[in-house]
Amino acid sequence: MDNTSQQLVSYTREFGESSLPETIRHATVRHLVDSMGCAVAGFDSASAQVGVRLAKTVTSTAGATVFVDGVETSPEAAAFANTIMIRTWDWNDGMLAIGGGHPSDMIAAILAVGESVHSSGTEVLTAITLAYELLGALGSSAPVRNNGWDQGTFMGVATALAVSKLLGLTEEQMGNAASLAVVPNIPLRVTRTGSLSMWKGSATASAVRNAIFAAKMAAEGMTGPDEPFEGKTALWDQVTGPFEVSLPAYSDGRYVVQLAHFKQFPAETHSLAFVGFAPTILEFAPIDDIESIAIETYWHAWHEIGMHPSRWDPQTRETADHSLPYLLAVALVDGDVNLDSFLPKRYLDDALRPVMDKISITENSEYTALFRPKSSGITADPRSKIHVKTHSGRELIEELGYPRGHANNPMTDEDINVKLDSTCRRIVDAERKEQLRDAWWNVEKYSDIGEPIRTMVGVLGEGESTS
Amino acid sequence: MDKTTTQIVDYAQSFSLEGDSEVVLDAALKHLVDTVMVAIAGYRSEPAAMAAAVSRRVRSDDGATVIGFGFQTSPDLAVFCNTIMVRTYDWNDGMQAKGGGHPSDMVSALLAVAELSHASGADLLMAVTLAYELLGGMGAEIGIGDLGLDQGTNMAVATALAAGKMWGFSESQLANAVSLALVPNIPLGASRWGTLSMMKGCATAFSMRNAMFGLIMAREGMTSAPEPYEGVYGLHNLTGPFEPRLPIFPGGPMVIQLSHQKPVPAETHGLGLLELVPEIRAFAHIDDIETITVDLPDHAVEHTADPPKYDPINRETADHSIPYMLAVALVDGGITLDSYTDERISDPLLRPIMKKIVCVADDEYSELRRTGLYGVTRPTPARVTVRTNAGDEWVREVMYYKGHYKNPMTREDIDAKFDIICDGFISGGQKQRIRGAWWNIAASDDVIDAMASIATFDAL
Repeated sequence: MDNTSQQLVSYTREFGESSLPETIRHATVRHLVDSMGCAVAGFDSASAQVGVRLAKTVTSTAGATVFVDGVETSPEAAAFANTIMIRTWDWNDGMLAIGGGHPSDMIAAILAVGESVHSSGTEVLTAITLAYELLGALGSSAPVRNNGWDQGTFMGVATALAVSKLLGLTEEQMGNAASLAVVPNIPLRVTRTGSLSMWKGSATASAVRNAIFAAKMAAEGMTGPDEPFEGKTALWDQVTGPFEVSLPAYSDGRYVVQLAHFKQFPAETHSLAFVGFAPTILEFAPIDDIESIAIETYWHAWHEIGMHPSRWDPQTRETADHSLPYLLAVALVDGDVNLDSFLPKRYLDDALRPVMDKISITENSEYTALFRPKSSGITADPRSKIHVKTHSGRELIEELGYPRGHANNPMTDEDINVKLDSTCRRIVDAERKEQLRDAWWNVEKYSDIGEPIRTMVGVLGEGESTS
Repeated sequence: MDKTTTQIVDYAQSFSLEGDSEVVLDAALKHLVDTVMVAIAGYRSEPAAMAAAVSRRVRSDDGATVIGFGFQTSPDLAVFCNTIMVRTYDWNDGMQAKGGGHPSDMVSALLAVAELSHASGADLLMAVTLAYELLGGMGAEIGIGDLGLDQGTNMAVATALAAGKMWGFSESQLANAVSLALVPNIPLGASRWGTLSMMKGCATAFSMRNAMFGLIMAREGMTSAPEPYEGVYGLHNLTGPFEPRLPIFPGGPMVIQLSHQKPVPAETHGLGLLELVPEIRAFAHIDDIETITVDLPDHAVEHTADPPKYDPINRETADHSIPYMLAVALVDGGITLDSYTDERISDPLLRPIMKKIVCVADDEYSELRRTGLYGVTRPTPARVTVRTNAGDEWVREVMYYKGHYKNPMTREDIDAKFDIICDGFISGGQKQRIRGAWWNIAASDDVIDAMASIATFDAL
């Protein structure tokens, strides 16, 4: 094993030996509850349905459940379908590390493996906390995205190690699980550039599916290259360059699960502050009076959601939810961004084009420099300026900072419950919703994680309207 | 779709074997049969047992056969198991393009799709020929290995196209299958350096499992990045621009004709040397030999005579070690799968013999290997100089080993190889049934009959 593998494996083996503090366990529960709500909302998406159909073609001993649908399949197939559900609307949590990603993309894989071996609620919570910690530590140590690679790179390793812990792998097997997760499966970032496809919300589902497979093969004795990070043509050479990872991710006692952000709206992370500001703009002036909205922002926001011309004419929902012009325009016109905002009839609406055309986005190098101070780790420091001008020459200029859900402007438990109402709206009937709400907030009391997972099944009903 | 995706999808869609000469079909058949035979050898390998143990838990009504183990599982897992069997002993075919790889690593995925789609033998041979041509056409233009990436990169794409065509994919499904084969799963070259792990023989099986899953997803309507090559952070970001050479030679020969086959399980650079073993043994007893100097192209020295290869600790390292292979063949009389048991590899008596073998990079040979590239094949020169303690010297040079395009294996050679594989393992009756089914595959309406012949092996 190379040094990095050894360090990750040792940390994994020692993690949770003494039980985690209550505040940390509760932080993890919050992410779990939020993810389950996102999964319900994502079930019906076209990409999740591909995952569900594929899951239905196989049966498995030591299997796992596909959320909502309820079919029992292999852990890999369940993890694939369920991760797409959690991720597809980009409504799940996130972090802003240089090798970032949405950490809850790993949750479905941990649940699926936990279900397959009847792990307890506490064991699953520990594994999720571990996975966040590994991803956060790796993600803040090494660049992935800037070198043209995708989020699944580190998610694969972190997930493989977390599920290895649930499967009870030996030290050597864990080293091989990490190696077998990394070496065959480095994802390209082209998934997130240009015109976006269903894969934008499915790529990490593929990474965690492969992570489970890696752990299972390692458990059977398969060996991978013993220097998957530092060896010749291994991860350092090909992907990240040399890096040093420090575990835990923070030396001051804070955990990644406490710092990863939540999303109030189903929209790309960098857009959240702007979507949250839309009501203020509408108070200032009706849309028709607005001549221009000039946005200055940090490079990451500009590059991800405000650079490519496709963002002013979204033709897919994946492009729409990664388009700042679209998200702000639809928030201004509809007064909200919700899943209806991503129906084709909405994002293809000609009437929105002139509103989008009022919006211009440029990079402000000062904000770029501020965005990722050395101390920020996985959270970053997003700053932007918005400059609204009316036809009559009135101006609204505001500097925007932490959106609701950022660690410095956190969503409360109550906010998470309100979001759960929203993700379940028109999908889950009231009684089933309360059952799943209760089960996941109290996940620690279950000796078999299969029990709360069953509250995710058969929830399709008339639903209720909260609007 | 970007330019490269358009080019390879168009090529796959318009590809046909109709009107092609007998020699192409004969080559396709020889490579297909040889692949099935080496899979049967690999059935007994340790990684195959591990893969089968994991796959056995998953069943699928609409699945594919795991060779030898007799169960059907999801297509991606069947492909994983079967590709390991084909590749694990490094006894399957190969090519020597700039971006290399063993093209028959792709065959298991084609077999699985043939099974799922009830393809005819002719359809299967078409798909095999197409996959080889695509892999060679890409490998001729881009040195995937030199860039630090692994063989599976191009293999996954070639497989997606050939299998997708056989499965009746639309143009957009083919494009998505390409993107899904490539974008999520770039394999690192790390599997091929230093002390080798099981991944040396399994890395492409992971790639093929990924390609198969991409095919299934594309068939169900999953969409992926439309510009997997030329888009921002697409493959060209890693490789620089390149244009696959399709076909590799207008008017032929095709990649499937140029690809080499292996009479014995050994890394390609060792094949010619191993042919000289009987003569060396006739020249001098091993104890009387002082040194054996092997002059080779630099590439061969780098891969098969680096320090870990002088003290192999597992079979993956041993079958890529010229000192080991030559030493064990000199002692035992030749190379078989028995040469790679843990017991044989760890035999301390072989170490002093390995120390007598000195591999030297020869400038002229390095140049010949580089400039002699013809599509996906090249000369594999080697010179052996044996010196005895008494001062006698014996020198031989080999250029084209048996199995090379310029010195091809015949059907009889392949049958002889199969006899060795079956020896003490498969009954004479079943051996004949397998031969009959696969040598006559071109006449078969449905590949499942031939697959049934290798689903399980009768106990002897």
